[in-house]
Amino acid sequence: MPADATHLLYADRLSGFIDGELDADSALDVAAHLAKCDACSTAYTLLLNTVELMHQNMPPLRAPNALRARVVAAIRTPRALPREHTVRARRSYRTWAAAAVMVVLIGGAYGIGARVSAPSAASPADAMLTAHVRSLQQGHLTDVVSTDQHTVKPWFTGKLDFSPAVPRLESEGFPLVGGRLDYVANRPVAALVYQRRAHVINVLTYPSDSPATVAPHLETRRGYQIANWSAGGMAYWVVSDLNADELRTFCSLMREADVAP
Amino acid sequence: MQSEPVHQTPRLVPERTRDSFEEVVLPHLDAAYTLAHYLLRDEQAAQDAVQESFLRAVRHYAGYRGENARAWLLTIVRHCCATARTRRRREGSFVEFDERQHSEHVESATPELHLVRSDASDAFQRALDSLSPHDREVLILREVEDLSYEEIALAIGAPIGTVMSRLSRARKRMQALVLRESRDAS
Repeated sequence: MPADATHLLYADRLSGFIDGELDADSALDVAAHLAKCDACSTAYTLLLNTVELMHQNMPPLRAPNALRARVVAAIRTPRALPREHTVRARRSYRTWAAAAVMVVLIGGAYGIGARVSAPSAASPADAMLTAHVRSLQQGHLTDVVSTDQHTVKPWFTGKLDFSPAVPRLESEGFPLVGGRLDYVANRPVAALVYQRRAHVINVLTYPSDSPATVAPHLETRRGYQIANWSAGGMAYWVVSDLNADELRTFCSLMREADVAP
Repeated sequence: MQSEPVHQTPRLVPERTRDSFEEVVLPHLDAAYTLAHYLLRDEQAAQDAVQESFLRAVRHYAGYRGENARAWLLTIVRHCCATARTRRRREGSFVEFDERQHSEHVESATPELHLVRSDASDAFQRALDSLSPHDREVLILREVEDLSYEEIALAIGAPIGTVMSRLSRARKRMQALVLRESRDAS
C-alpha cells in the first residue's frame, strides 16, 4: 500500500482515538502506528492541539441569574405540568393519576416549600442584601433599563408567574432606573431599581407566603438599610445605602402606590 | 472538562415531584445554557431556548428513565436550538451563519479583510461559523459538553459511525482553517 493511503487510513481514526472511542483492537493498531510513523504522529499532535484550542475558545459558561430566575419560575408554574398525550387507556389513566398526584404535590409543595424556605431566621435579609450588593457590580443592576413603568412592568410578563407593581415615584425624587429578574433565597424575584441622588435602591418583590399584611420593619446591616413588609399578597424587600429617613419615605411611597389602583 | 458518571442518578419513582425535577435536572442549567449559547450565538435566542427546554423537560419528566440527566437535558436543548434555528431562518429575523458566505469569506479573504481581524479568537469564531450546522453541533456536544459518542448519537438521532465521521471532519476542518488564518496573519 502506498504510504499516503496508509496515512489516510489512520488519519480518519485519530479523532476517535483521541476520545478513546475506538474499539480496543483498533486503538492498539493506531497506537502502534503512531509509534513508528512520524507523519501520523505529527498529525496526531496537531489534532490534539486543535482540540485544546477548542476547549480554550469555548469554555463552559454560567447561566445568568436572570435566566435561572426565568427557568425556575417557568417550571414552577402549573402550566409546566406534564400533559397527557397518550392514546392507550391504561397509560392514559396512569398519566392522569400521576398528573393529579403532581398537581396536589406541587400545589402543596409550593405552599409548604415556600413556607419552609422563606423568611425564617436571619437568612432572608442577608440574602436580599447579597442580591443588592451583587446588583451593584458592573452590568448586573438592570436587565431592562427604563424610567417608564409602562416599559418595565410588561417586561416582566411571561418571565414570572406574578406581575409586580411598578409605581412611578420620580416626582417624589425617586426616579425609576429599570428592572431585572433575580434569584434570591431559592425563588425568582422581580427587582425594581430606583435611585435617590447617587444611591441605588433595590426593591425585591415576590408573592408572599401568607396573605397577611405585615407592617414594615427596617433594620441596618453592614451599613445598608433593609426594609421588609408584606401587603396585597406580595412580599417586599427594599435595600439601599440611603439614609434611614429617606428610605422610610421611599417605603411609604411604595406602599401607598401599591394600595392605589 | 469532567464527564459525569453515567447512571449516577438512581431510578426514580414514577410520581416525581417538582422537587425531584429541581434536584435532578435543574443543576444542569449551566450546561444547557452553554450549549444553547454556542449553538445559537444569540443571547436572547439562547436564553429563550433554554427556558423552552426546561418547560419541555418538566413535561416529559415522566419519560425520563434515570439515565444521565445531563445528556437527557442536552438532547432537549439541542432539539430546541434546532427548532429555533429553523424558525429564525424561516422568519428571516436573524442572519443564519451562511455556509457559502462564510466559506467564501475564508476562501477569498483578501489582505484588506485581514486588516480588520482583531485576534485569534475571531479567527476561531469564523472557522467555527464555516462548519455545516451538523458538524458544528457534533463538535460542540463533544468539545464543550464532553458527551460520549453514544450520548451524541442519541442526542442527534444518528448512528455512532456518523458521529465519529462528522467529528473527525469537523476537527480537521477547524484545524485547517485555524492554521490558514494564523499563517495568513503572520
